[in-house]
Amino acid sequence: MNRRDFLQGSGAFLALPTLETFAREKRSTPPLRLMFIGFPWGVTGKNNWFPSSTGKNFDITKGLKPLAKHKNDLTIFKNISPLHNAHHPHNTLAYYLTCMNFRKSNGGIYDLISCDQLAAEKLGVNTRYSSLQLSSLGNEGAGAGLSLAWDKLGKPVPGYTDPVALFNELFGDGKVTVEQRREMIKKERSIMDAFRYQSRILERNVSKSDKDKLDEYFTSIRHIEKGLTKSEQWIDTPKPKADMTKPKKGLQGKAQIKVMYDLMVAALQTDLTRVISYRQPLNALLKELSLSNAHPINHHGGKQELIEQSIIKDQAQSELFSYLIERLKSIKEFDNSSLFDNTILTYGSGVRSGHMNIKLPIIVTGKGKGKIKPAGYVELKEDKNRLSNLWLTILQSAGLEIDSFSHSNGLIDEIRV
Amino acid sequence: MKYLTLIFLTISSIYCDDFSRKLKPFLEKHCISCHGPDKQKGKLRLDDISMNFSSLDTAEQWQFILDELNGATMPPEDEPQPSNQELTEVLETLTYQIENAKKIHKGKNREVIMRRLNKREYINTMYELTGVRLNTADVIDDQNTADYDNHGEGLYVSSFLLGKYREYAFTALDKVFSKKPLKAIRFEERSLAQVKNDWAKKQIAEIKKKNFQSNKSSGRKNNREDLRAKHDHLQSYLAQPFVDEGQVLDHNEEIHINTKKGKQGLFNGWGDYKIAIEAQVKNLKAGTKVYLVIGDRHLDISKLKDKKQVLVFNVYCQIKTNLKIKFYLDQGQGNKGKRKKRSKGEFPLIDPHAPKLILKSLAIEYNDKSIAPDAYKKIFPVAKKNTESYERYAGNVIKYFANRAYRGRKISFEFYKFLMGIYKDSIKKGIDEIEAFKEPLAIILSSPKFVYLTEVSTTNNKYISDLELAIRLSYFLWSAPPDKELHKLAFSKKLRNPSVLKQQLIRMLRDNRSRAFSEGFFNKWLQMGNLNLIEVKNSHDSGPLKYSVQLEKLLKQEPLEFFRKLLISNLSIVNMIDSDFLVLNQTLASYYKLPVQISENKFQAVKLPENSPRGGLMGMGAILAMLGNGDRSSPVLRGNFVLTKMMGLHSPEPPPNVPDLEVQTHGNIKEKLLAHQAKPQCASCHKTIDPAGFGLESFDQSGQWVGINRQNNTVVKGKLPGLGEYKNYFEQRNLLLKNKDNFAKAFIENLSSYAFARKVGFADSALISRLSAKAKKNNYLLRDIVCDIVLSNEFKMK
Repeated sequence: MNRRDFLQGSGAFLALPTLETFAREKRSTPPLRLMFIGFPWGVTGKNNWFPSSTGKNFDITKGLKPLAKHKNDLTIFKNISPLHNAHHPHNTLAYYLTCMNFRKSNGGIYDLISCDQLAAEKLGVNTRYSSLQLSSLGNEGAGAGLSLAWDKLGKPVPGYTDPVALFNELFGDGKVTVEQRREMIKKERSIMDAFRYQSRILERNVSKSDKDKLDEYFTSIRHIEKGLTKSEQWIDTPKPKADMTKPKKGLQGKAQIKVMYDLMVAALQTDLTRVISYRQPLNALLKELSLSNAHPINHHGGKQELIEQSIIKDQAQSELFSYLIERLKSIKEFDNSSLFDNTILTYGSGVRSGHMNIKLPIIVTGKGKGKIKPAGYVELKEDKNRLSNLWLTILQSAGLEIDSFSHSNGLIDEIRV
Repeated sequence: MKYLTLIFLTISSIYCDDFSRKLKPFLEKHCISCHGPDKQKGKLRLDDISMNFSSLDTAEQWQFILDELNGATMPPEDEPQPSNQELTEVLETLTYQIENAKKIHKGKNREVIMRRLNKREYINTMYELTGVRLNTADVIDDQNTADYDNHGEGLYVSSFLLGKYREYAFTALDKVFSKKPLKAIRFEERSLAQVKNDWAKKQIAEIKKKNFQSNKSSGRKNNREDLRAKHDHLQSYLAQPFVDEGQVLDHNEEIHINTKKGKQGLFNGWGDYKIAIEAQVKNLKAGTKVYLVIGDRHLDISKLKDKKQVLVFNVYCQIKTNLKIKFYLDQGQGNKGKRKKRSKGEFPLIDPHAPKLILKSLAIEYNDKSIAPDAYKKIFPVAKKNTESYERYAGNVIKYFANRAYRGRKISFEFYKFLMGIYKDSIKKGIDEIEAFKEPLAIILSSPKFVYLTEVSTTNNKYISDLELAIRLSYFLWSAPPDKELHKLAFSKKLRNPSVLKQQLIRMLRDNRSRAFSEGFFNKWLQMGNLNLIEVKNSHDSGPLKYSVQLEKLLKQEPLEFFRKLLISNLSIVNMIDSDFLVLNQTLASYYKLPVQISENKFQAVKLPENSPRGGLMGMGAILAMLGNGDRSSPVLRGNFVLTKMMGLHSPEPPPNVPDLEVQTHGNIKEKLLAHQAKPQCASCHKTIDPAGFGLESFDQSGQWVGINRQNNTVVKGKLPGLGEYKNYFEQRNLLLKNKDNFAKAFIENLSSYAFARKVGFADSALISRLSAKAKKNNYLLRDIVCDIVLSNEFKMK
């Protein structure tokens, strides 16, 4: 057995069939799941995406058209904004889930970790993966970061960019026996010990600020060890069967995003994880639709031709999102509720259009086990419209006992039950 | 639209005193009623706000206010609004003040932060250690947002990265241990004449066999005539005088050279190929240019006019199952001799007197440069002796490798013992003696001592050690570890000697590895990465030399070659503003319409004619193309380039939340931009930026010179802050030369920042002034500047 076979299987020594996991937790109802999807470059301005009338009976705009059939399940915000409305305008997703202040070199004290990672600390204890991150290969205008997720120290968390690799990780079979796996974990632990030992020697000779840098190394080691521990816990557990076939290699554009959605649904359905984030790609989609690059489309500057293109882009994305909602609605859980009933799903961007980092396009949907409710097109009170309030509301609905997130100053009552 | 991007910029300190004079009344008039002693809406109080920008908190508070003003969220809509002039002034003052504060805060700390190898350094270091060059696209990006990629504060380590390091190490070691012969793929066709003639004769025979009868199944009426025409066409081909000397090509005729191997292509698509042809050009009238076209590359083959000879080209192109080549004539105006385009089913008779390319033979070679020929030897410099135990041999291999991976520092005994344990374990499991090295070596390649460039800082000495100096120097100039010579000098404590250090610097710059310096520093300083974000369109009048992926690759190389020329030949950096030479190859010289004959494969210095618009960075195709949106040029981006790069001024980020502009659709670019200045948020900066870039409107979006003419003579007039007005590009360039001291100082500051691998700012102002003053006396010779930086105390300080 070589190391890479092991790594391919590692972390993927895989989960119990759904019912068994739930039985382990002695559940009578399915757990609550969280999904966060972010796309770069925002949407088309001037009521091409945003409705013009608020309330439950809001008007379906061109950009939202494919979502019309889910209208009664949606909440869309008219004026939700990050507190620090002064991010670099091209940093469109870097702060989306953290509400981090990028102008400050190290961020704030509270706003280093992204809300999905915070949720994973509680929701991920009993699952194979505390959380899953999916991402685009390049940053595609999303700004800093490797995915939407940032860890406690404010370091970017990587995400899966290739559906095939993700499928292998979740459902693929490592050709390794349990014994071999145990042995590999033991070896990995010994390597981490050796690294720690070498770092300690280095630490003796470096200055205070260098020690901080070296601390990153220690943290990384600890993180790997934590992963090994989780692997050990699941070592005897067989993997779940996916309700889908292995994706084809090299999928791009719509097909790729669709299959990533399928994988997200499959991972939730089999309870491999309960928290998923996805930094959705855009470039390949634009290419497939024969549209211009994201940058000129975004900065259309009033040029009708580019605005039309931007609307086509919005529609294509809404169509994909509508597909995801449908998939969630179609999956039945063991108590006959649907996955949609048990999920809180957010979908949005960290930029509105052009260089506007305020009044973001964000949709909340999913019934979240009745913890949240759809509210249509909502205008929030000016002093309560912080983006961090949305994440706090969702985290609280998911059962986290916290009273603030980042620079939150309240909850979004409009969507709370 | 990119050219309407707002770029804030600061010009001089005259606003400093204006600050309280201008801001105070504004605050009192528009803000205090809601954010004052009586009311503090949003818990913000502005009547007692500090004006002391040296405090970071104050600067951040003001930044917040600036953002609100830029976003036009304050004052609220139902309150009285400031006038445009009022707002423009306040925005300008505040932007400048904050930018200045940032600069001061940025430079407060002079400490070099310990850092990991960045991506470029990692790839180079792996190459030196294993002989394998990892693919840039396969290695994870640094995500470093600092000014330069060697600044420690932006280089993070994560568990993900550690995992990746081991993965890359296995990839490299697999390649070394596989012992496969080096990958050179060759293709050769010695007699193209025979191939073509045999084919033509066979076709003729087949047509005759069919007796010119149409094939019924094709269902085409004219098939009979078609067959006749094809027959006659082929006959006329074979009747040409030179058909036995080679395959004969007419103008604009494309042929496909079959490079299949079985069903598969012999080559793998895009890559750097060496293509050799043996050929001759006949029937050519004087004054006609001839090209061999591969993809979009037009290779000058004028040498073939007089006699048959062999030409070799290094070309970046795409070859899989075949190589497409074309013969192309350029007679300047008119299209005499233009061959009728061959449409389907149309077979014209071939004119034997037309210009011909006679292609006798052709060869293609592809070399895989991802592994060094001596890769295996790098890891195993000596083979195991028969008398030696494998354990002893393994010990030596591991120690030797660790010593190199740790840049001259020894492996600790405990770590060594651990690695030997892993090695012996593998042997016990029956793994091959060589294969078993992979695991311990890969562990070394992700261990902290390899990953981090550490310097001992606990001794009392305020200077770094000789070995540390060698490491700093080599990562500065090569982005790679020190070589044997540097190690030797460090070991014998001679490197610190200024004359030795200078000697080494000159040697190192001449070495090919110093190309990493141009890429790490100069490319980043120019922000050349922006060119990758756009697709550049051709000019109408681009002739046979079109802007293409292949051409862009050469254009991007040009500034790097220019910088390297300044470095190695020790020339003045003022050449960046204006120079009487450029460093080019034949394709670029033709692209710039320079009448010279030089090598296609090698860049060399070319003297420019008097009054050439080229010369200096501003006339370089890649830079001009980058400063636009691909469809058209951007006076805004070009103005920003002139101010920040050519004048050494400071430029803040574009402000967020400025509402989108509706573009005015009539008028020329200048009129459109002026309309844009109606908004105070825009005018506060663009009234300075845009006029600095108008002169460059004499170049189009693809870097072609369009000149100064009746259409654009009002557009190309502009103004440079502090230097006055100019009428056109030439005057603009001359004005900039007057400002060379400021340009040089800013450039030296940037160079120092890369050299010291840290931010350079306020605390370094004395050093920068000293370096600049010395450089001025010495005509700003680049290599001497780099040398003075390396010889400075700061370069050796902890």
